[in-house]
Amino acid sequence: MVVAIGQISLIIAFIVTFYSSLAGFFSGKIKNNNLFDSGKLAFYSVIPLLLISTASLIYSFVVNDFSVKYVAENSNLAMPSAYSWVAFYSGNSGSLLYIAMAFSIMGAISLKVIASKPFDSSKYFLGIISLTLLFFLFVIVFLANPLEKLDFVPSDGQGINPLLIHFGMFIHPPFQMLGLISVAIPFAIGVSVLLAGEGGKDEWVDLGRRWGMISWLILTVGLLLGSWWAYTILGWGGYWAWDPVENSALMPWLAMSAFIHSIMVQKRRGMFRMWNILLIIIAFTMAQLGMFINRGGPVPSVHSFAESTMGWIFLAIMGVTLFASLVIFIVKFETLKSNETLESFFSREAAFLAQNLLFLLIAFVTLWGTVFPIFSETFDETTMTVGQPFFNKVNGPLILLLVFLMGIGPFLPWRKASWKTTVRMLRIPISIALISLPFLIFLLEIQKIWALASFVILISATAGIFQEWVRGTISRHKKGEKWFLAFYNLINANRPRYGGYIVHLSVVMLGVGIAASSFYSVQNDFVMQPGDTRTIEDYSFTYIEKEETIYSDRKEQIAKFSVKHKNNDLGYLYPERSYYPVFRISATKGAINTSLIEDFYLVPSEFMEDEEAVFRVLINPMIVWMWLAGPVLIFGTIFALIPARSRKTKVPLSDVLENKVLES
Amino acid sequence: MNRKKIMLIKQPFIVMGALSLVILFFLTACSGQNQNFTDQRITSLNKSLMCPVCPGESIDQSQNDLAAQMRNVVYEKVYEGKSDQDIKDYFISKYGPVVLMEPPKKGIGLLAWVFPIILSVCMGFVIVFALIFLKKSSNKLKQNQNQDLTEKERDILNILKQDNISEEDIFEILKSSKDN
Repeated sequence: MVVAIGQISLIIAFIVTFYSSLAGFFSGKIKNNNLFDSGKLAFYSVIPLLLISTASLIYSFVVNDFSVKYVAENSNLAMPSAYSWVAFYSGNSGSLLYIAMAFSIMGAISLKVIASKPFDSSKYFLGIISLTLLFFLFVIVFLANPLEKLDFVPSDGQGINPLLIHFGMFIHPPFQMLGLISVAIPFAIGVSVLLAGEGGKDEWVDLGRRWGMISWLILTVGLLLGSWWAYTILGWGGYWAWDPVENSALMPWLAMSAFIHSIMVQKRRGMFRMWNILLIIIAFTMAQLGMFINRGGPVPSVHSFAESTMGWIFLAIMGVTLFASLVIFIVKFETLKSNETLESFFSREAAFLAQNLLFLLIAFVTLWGTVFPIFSETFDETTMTVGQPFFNKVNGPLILLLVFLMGIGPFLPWRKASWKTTVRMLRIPISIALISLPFLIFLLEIQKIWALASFVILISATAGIFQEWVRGTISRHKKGEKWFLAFYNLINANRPRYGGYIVHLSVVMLGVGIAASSFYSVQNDFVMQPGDTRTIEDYSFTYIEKEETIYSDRKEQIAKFSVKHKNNDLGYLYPERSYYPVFRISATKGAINTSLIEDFYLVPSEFMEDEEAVFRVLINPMIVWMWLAGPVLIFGTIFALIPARSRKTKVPLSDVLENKVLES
Repeated sequence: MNRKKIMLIKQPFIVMGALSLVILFFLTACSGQNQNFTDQRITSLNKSLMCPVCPGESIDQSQNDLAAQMRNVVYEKVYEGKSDQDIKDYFISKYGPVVLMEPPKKGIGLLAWVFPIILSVCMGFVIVFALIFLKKSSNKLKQNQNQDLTEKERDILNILKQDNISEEDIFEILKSSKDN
């Protein structure tokens, strides 16, 4: 019964969305507001319909209704009940329903905002987001229906992949999937502006920037949560493996990072109009490619949870979208001509352009590495692996260059920079970096060349950001503002800029964590028996005992350790290892003692028949800074997003000018 | 003489050049000090070999039994005195080149490494050409911009110019006054 209601509302949602996409495009074509209004209402009404379908699927999971094929495939009686609520997005068709549901809500909010502005493009916007939603609903209804019934009712389900039983399951997949699909919103804004021929006006820029940043933020949070999850459960002490699916989530993030920067050039200078539209098309294509790689599985990956045989349809829709957007672009690009031009090669605009292309370069190199195995298999019939070492070597220097630009770019003025002012601005950051050099080399013993380069660049970038804050605050303080107020007013006066600095600071924090842990991580395997004590660096740890519990779905083994750092007692650590016989998978949970300096990471690799066990110990320096960067990044992005106060009270500038003319 | 010296220091190119020389000196001074312990060798070998049954994971990170066996093989062979390349070749002969975490720098695998370099060079050219293209039309359009102004606005422009306000700021002001 519940399932039938869910089915029906899915089909109604499909029909309604079909109508709203037609209404969107036609009302744009004939400029009819009534048709647009009805299309809008249709789109809004999809939300409750999809919520009903989702609810009925969740309900089937909670009550263990194994007559539903998808539930039988992705759940079983032994699954912890909390996970029943989220298991619905652990497989292919259920995650598609989640995407459709989440996108309908986000699309409706953006539609509400955009429709309140007097643009004709909002009609096309409705058309494009409806079409996007329609695609997902089409796949769900006709190809991968999560509410499909089985002819018989199995007594138990096959169960969820044990690697997904982790707190991260509640937050990482929803953010990651929503992040990928949310790129459709800035994309729809850009293309609808083209379709309506309103690209010459820059009014859409604020909307594009805002939704671009929201989408970027969700993607970033998804990526960070994913890394954190990998670090805590996959039990290898790392957080990023350059796995194909990770790459396919990183590529649209890189393109979006380029977009949210270059859109600022359009906002401030009215330049880069065509480039911005092209960038958002590239970003959306890469997001679609990500879905294809994840679901089509052309390259082997550890993320094969949602793998299916229908990758082709995602590849097809990607091709169609790319082709259609490029045709629209070619037909309409005349409307994007800008009167503004570059005044100097040495300006913030030029730095933005270089930074944009660097972001794209990293994205394309990542793409190349990801698809190279397919390439080599097709043309040479050799299967090859392109793994972590390749990406570290190729992308590492490019990313470092990007961080270097991040340190310099914000100090170049718009239009034209002079050497004099630039040197004055960079004097302090560069001196601080140089002064820190001997400390880094001799005190901290950072003697690997790339590590040293990374830290010097990170230090100068940090010094640059603080210099901006300190200088601005001092100059305001001199005008009579109190210290705190001076700082507050400073960053409040230009939120996009100072919010950006906060985000840059979080990037530095990320960089410190990544550089320190990838260059100076220490790892060793220890064979131990209960009672044994071993040491690694300044730590000594004792294996006390092992506790074994057999559950219906798994054998859980928890080891108890006491750990000491120098003479400080760090208490007990409990690394876990569970074996799931049905899946023949062992899931490990590392036990971590975290400090701002380093993580002591302990993970059981193997429990042998006798009392012996193998433990892997890692000392990962400064990794916690990566996780601390997350909240800072979120804060900075939201800060930059807060709209500027309305300027209505201000005297119109033309009057000021007129007075000036009269006075003279 | 003294003044000339100061002039020299004021030259930003020279300052930048000197700074990069200092950095270079430090970098070369401390490179090549990495010692290669056997443990590190084993770890780096483990990281460079893929576990054949657990796609995308190296034998270093994988918890699979086969990965554990392969780790043991690496361990034994290192202590037998085999070189890194010998050990890699052994696994290649067993599983094919797919067992390496990065493509070999020969044959078609070389393409994997060369293409990013080509792409970087291309991107460099794109940046240069885009900048030149954007700049070329600059002067021409600037005149147009002045012609767009009404007579009154041009008067304002002249007055403001006398007040020592830069042309850029004036355009900014004019632009926003037009918008209102």
